[in-house]
Amino acid sequence: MNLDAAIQAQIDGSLIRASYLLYVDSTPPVRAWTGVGPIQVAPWGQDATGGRYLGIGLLGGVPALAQLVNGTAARLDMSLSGVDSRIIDLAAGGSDDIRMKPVSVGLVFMGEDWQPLSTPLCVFVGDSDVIRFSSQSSANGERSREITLSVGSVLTGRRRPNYSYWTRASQRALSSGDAFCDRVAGYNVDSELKWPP
Amino acid sequence: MLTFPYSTLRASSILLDIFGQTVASGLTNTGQQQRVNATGGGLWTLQLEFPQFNTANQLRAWRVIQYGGADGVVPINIAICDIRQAPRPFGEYVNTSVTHSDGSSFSDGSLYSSALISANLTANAAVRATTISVAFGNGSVPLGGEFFSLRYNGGLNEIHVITNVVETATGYNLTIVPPLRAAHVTGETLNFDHPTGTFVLAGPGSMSMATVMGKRGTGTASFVEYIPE
Repeated sequence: MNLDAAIQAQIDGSLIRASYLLYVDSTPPVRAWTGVGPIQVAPWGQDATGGRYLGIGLLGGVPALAQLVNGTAARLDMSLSGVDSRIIDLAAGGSDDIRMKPVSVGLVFMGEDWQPLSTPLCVFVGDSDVIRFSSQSSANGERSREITLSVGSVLTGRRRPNYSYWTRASQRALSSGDAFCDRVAGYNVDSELKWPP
Repeated sequence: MLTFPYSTLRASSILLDIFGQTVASGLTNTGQQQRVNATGGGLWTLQLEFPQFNTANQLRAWRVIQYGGADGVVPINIAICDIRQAPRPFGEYVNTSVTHSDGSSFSDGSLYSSALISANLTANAAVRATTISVAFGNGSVPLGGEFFSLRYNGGLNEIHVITNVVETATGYNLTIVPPLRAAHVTGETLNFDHPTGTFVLAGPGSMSMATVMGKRGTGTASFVEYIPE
């Protein structure tokens, strides 16, 4: 990855101004960043058009990004705390719209004027799969709600086979000469097998 | 939307600060330290302290904000008392239309006057801008460190502080913190007289008042800046 000269200069300094971007390629797309207020971002990564990113400010967090180490594929759990019940309802109702959609995490460096120094850098690409909700009450009556979006990388679940059925069609599709499941259709819960057949 | 009763509830202590997520790497042996700021400019926080309420109006006004604020759900416009630091005109006064209570003027025919600050944008400013062009009237001179506010989205207010001043042919270019929350157009008025921000209560229990004999009270309140969706 070749860094812009302005970014390199900032990294060499003592103060780095950088925020994370989150883009979910759903319909409509989800655009959020870890700063305060809205920000207009140029096209980057999977966000081919760029657009207005919603600031989730101090309530949102991006977990540490890990590379593939010792064969363990990282999974990201991105959480948004402090959401109200309306957001929970919206997320629950539209969770199918966001499931298995490409997710990109970007890093945007900013200058002293808090404007982007260059095109954001794409630091993680994955697919969203599970949305979880939690709601907890504290002793003082405060209720905190949290939405967590779990995102798997391209390496997540790579050893897990696709779902299939123990049927003749499925088995023949995998191996055309395999007759192992040819008689499955004749079995049911109460079947009694006689041996030798 | 509520408006904090500025004239009824005068805070004795005002702590207006910008809260940001700054992560430090720790100090090295050579004294170097790297910090990362990820907020894109930060978020205002406000703490007010009121050592004593003496009147029934004050107690009632406090309750309106405390319970009407709904633990941080309802936005509240809060003006900051910062008159001494405002860029008051020097020796030039406007608003000379106020008479005595009986309608008469001074013996020389003049009326009461006050040093109102006149400041307007001289160029459009984009959302998240940190430099704005401003023309001041009545001889006001910004020095840096002044609070001011701009209205946006109808009744909301964004508050800023000036961190750098550059004089131009038409006025001043002001560097401000934090970045603008909304776009603004030429001619909009900057409020230096009563800089106002839109806040919400920081959370449940963040505004409380203890009363003595049901007559006097003391209170503290914490707010965070309200950012619309």
